[in-house]
Amino acid sequence: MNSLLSDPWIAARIDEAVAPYVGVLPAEEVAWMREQLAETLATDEHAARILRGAHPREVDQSGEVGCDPGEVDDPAAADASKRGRAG
Amino acid sequence: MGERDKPREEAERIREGTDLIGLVATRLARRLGRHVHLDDLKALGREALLSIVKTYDPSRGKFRTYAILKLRWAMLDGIRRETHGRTAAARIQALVASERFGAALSAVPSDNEPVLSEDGYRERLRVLLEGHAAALAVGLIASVGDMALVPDAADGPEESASRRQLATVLHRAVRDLPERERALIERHYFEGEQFDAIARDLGISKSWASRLHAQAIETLGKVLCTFWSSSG
Repeated sequence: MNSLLSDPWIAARIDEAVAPYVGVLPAEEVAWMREQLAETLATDEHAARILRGAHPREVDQSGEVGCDPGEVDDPAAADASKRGRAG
Repeated sequence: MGERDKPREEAERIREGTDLIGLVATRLARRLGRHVHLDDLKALGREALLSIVKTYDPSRGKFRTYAILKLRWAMLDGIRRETHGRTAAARIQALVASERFGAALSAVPSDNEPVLSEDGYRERLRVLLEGHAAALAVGLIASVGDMALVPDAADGPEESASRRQLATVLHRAVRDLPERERALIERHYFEGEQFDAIARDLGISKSWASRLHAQAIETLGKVLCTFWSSSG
C-alpha cells in the first residue's frame, strides 16, 4: 500500500475521488485506482505542491492521525503528510 | 555556455539519466504490479535516454524533471505496444490517460502559480483527484480497440456484462464530445493512434491537445458517474 494512504486525511480525499466508481468498476480496479491516486500525489511535483497547500496543519481532536506514513517519494508530499501528524 | 561544453554536458546528463532510469522503472513497475517486468521497463528507458538528452532544452526547466517525464512516457508507450493481456493493457492505458491529464494541469510553471488559501488548495486537490480518477476510469474502460470487451478468464458473467455496458456508455459519451475532443479520444484510446500524431493532424499544438484531452476526460468522468448514479 502507498504510504500516503496511511494518512487518514489524504485517504479520505482519495476515497471521495473514487467513490463514483465503487460498484461501477470491479473492486480490484477501484482499489488499484486508489493506489494510483496516492502514487500521483507522492511522485508528481504539481500534485504534491497542491497537497502540501491543502493538507490540514493540525491533527484532528480524535488523534487518529498517529500512524507513520513512512517514506514518500516526493519531499512536498512527505511534508504535507508530516504536517498532519505534527499538529 | 558554448558549443565546446556541449559534449561534457550531454555526458553528465546521460549519467544523471541512467540513474533516473532505475527510479522511474521501479515506480512504474510498482504501479502496474505483476503485469510488467522491471527489466523490460529499464530497457525501454535506456533506449529512450539518448534522444531525451539530445532534445532537452535547459531554458525550459531542470533536466531531472524533464527526464523523469520523458522516461515515464517512453516506458508507458513501449509497454503499451508490447502488452496484450486485457487487464495489463487496460491499466497501462489508464496510467497513460492519468499522466496526460496531469501533464495538462502542470503545464503552468510553478513560479506563475498564484498562492491560494487553504480552501483554495483543497478545491484544487479535489479537482485534481477527481480528474485523475476519471482519467484512470476512462483508460480502464476504453483500453485499446475492443479489448475492453474481451473478458479475462477471471471475469464472471456479471462482470463481463458490466464491462460491456460501461464500454457502450463511454463510446456514446465520446460521440457527444466537441469535434476535436472526440477525435483525440476516439483515435487515441479506441484506435491506438499516437497522441502527438493526432494533434499534428488536427493542426493543434501538443499543449493545446493536452488541454482538450483534460477537458474531455473531465466531461467523460461526469457522464460515467451520472449514468451510473441514475441507473443504479
